[in-house]
Amino acid sequence: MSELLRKSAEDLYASELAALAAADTEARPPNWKLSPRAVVAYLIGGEANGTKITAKYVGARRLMEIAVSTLATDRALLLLGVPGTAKSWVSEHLAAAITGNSRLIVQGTAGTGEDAVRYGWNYALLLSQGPSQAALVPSPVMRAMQDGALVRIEELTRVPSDVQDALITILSEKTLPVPELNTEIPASRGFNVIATANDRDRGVNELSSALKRRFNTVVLPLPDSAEAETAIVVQRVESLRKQLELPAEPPALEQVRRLVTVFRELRAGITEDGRTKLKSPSGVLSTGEAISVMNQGLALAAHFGDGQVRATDLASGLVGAVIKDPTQDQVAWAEYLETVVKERDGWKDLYRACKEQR
Amino acid sequence: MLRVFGIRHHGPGSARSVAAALDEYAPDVVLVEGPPEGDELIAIAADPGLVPPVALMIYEPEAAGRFVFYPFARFSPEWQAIRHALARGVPVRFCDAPAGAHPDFARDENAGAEAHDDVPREDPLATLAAAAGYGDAESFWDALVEQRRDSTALFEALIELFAAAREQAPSATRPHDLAREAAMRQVVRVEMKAGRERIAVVCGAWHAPVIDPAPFTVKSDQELLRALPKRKLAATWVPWSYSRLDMAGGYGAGVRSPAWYEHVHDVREHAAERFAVSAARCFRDAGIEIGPAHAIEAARLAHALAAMRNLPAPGLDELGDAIITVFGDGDARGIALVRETLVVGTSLGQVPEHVPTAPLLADLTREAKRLRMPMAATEKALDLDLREDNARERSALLHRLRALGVPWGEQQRGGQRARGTFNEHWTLRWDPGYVVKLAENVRHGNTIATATATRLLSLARDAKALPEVRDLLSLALLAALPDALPELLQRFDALAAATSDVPTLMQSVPALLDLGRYGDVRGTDTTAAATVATHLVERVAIGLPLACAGPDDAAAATLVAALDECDQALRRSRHEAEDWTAALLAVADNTGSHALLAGRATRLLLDRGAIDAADAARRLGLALSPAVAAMQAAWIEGLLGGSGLLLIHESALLGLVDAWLAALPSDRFSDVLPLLRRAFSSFSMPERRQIGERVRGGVAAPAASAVPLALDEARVALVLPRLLRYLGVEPEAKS
Repeated sequence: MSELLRKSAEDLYASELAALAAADTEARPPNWKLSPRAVVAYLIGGEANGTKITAKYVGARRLMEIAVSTLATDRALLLLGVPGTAKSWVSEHLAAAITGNSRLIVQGTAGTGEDAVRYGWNYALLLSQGPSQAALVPSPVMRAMQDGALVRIEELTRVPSDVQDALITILSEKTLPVPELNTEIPASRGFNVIATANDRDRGVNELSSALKRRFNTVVLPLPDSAEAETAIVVQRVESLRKQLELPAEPPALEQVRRLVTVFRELRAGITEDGRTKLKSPSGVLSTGEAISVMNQGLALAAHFGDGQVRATDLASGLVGAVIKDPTQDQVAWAEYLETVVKERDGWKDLYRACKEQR
Repeated sequence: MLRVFGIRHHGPGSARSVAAALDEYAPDVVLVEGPPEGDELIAIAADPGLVPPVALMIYEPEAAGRFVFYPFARFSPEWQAIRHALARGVPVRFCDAPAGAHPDFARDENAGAEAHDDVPREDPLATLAAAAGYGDAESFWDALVEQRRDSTALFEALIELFAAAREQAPSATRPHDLAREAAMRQVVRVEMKAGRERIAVVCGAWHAPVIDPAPFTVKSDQELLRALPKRKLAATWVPWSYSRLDMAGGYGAGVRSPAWYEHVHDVREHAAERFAVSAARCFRDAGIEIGPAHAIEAARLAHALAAMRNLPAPGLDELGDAIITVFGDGDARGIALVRETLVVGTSLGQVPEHVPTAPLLADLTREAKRLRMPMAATEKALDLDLREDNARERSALLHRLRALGVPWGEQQRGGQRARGTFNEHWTLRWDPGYVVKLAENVRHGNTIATATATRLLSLARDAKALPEVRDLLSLALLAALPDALPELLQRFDALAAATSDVPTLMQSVPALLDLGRYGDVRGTDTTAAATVATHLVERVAIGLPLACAGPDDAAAATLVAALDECDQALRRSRHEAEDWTAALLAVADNTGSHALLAGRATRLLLDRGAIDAADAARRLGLALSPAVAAMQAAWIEGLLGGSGLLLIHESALLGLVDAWLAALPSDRFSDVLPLLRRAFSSFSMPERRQIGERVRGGVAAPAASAVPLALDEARVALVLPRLLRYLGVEPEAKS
């Protein structure tokens, strides 16, 4: 077993990618490892030459088609959505399938500087020899341009505006000027950018319209149905369980369904049967959080319980996920517990477990 | 020689292919799938005044508003075939079974339902689609036929394809369709016998394999046709709209994107690019800055998506996705901006004037023309002054249409209620769907006026409650249907006799009394209404004292409102009201009456002059003497009734109220205070201030106006004539 905590997508799904590449007879854009249709198949799932391709993205196929088509044209792709809607996940798999490398990544933060998007300098060399190609320290973006690869920029809206603007030339001229050396680094074919941005952060560092125009925006929605959401949680929890080698049993579908129901109901502010209005807590309560609550439950069950995920294992994570604001959310959660969870058939254990947490 | 062109109704690709194929084939007769009842109307399609979208309406002229529509758009293959034949002087006729034979036509409740199927989307075609690697039959057909550019040999291939599909699922064709196919073969036989050498048949692709009569015997076809019911039907062209093209109809193909189809049909080159540019303009019109660069990117993305989805060219889905992604920043709501204009479309068809029209529509068109009211799809405001003849007739027409369920005009209530003014404000917007509504009303009559009257009477006969008939009466008056009034009044009287609920009766009084007043404006004879109104007031007067005894507070509040309205209506109409006054007196005198109502009755009597101020003061004194404070406050509320003027001008009353209030013990005062506040809160600000000033100055003090004015006779004389003119009094001839 590898010592890595988390393997990258291209390693984890190497066999699937290989099978798809073998079965792929269609034209590939320059520097792409797969044809656009095979990339969509990799994301949506299916079968290639007898190898089962797992679904990486559970949701509308057309969104993935738009995303891949965008990258096949020379527009950059912006994945937008509330936290936990698999933005980074999709971006990682897109990069893995298209260029076979999902590791060219810029993590956008308030402190991200221009050198993360353009290039930095090896100051020792710079001082001793003056500006030269050798003294240049390439950023992930620059390397992607040289290799004709995809570069991922996470949380683009958290990046300060002046740094965002550095992307404009790169995206429209497809070249990176290096004025210090009076040269430029042209992008090889196949280069493109996948950025993700958080819906909730809108307005933190809103993209300028000039930059926005260089992106095609795909909004990743929260799952439509409880069934789809349950499927996502089950699948992700299962893969993490294997990766972390947790000795617990996979969680019963019933537990996942309950968890997803709680999340969906609180998110929507109404029960699934449409009868009872609820207060919505301040948090997003995304699918991503449901997955982490389930994982926490799994770990608790493995190490402190009997290996079966029970209501008590879920309760602590659940309460923590729901109550983000100690006063308002507390009220919403207490109301939900008393009016919905308490009444529901077969939810007694969850009710009791949650009561104990408070 | 016979050639069969299998098409999809409203398929733009089919239309293009049919047009091209007919040009090449040059037939000497064209047979189009459609109802033979419409044969005589085909020639009108050559008239430039007939602008698609239009529909062939087949209806039963005699009875029960049954009808069916066969819509045609410019991108309908049938339309293209008809135009081809007419342009070249080639005979063209419909070859389907009579529309009246269709089972759906016979069904009452579903009048107007579709009369024949589109390409069946049942399993057989889906199986073929799956075999060809398509997700569903729809996209299979789209890629195979609609998106095809080169159509040589397409129709032969289609016949083979559908022959295979039919063979696979013999039961997929409904029995009625078998009969229709037999009818088509019979027409082909007739044409063959007539010596035609190049026959073209344009029909739904599903029927294409069985049009050639060779493998069938005349006898078996006759057998199939014998079972069909026969009906006497009439046909006409009616204007249609793109938004109604998806409505179930003769060619019941659900076309959800007519404007897009038109685009595909009309634009042969760069359809996606042109669409992206039009969409960009839509966004710009909505104030969203979308430049040409966006349009370029959207078109490129649409092409990339089409390639990924294995389509020969981008379809509406691809373009929609591209527009959402590039123009709308991923927000699906953006597409709504282009939906109405570019996807559905706002086109309205036109029908030349000389075309025979369905009776009600013909009548309406005549009337609308006479009254100069164009039937336009855009919204238009119309202000009517009912003192003018033309305006009155227009108003009546709009009210009649409303009664028929055709809301061409929506009446707007201005600041003032429409009642009591000479003006009506309307917003007009014609919807082609109203044609359907009119057709439904054919059973009521052949003109708008008779149909409305019949409909109102039939509604009145079914009515169970008084207010329903009351509303019908008002409507009949507004719609200028004096002939309907006697029977409606009869019905009203009968229901009123059976109604024991006084508030309901009272609420009907204003409407009925207003009948008379409106009659004056509209020149309707309403003596009958006056008689019924008298009866009604009598009934109310009898029931009133009892109704006012002992209702709870909520019921009393509704009764007070009814009392006010009733009294106002009576005063407006200058109705003889002795019964009414007597009833009010009884209410005021009866100690069992609810205090609010007794107070209000006293006030109404005072206003009518039935009692004088001294009597009112006596009654106030009496009402305020008993012990229950709450009832006293209610009585005062009833008496003052929303206006402080009484207190300002009747100082005796003000003195009494003031004395009563001052004498209240403090604990009782706090009980009464909320109720008093409620009574006083309805007064206007100046009224309250004046009352306050009067109280501060000492209630007993007489009004300042008692001081005689010193007037200069000469100067007054200068003002008087002008003043009299203002007041509408002609100054007498100078003496």
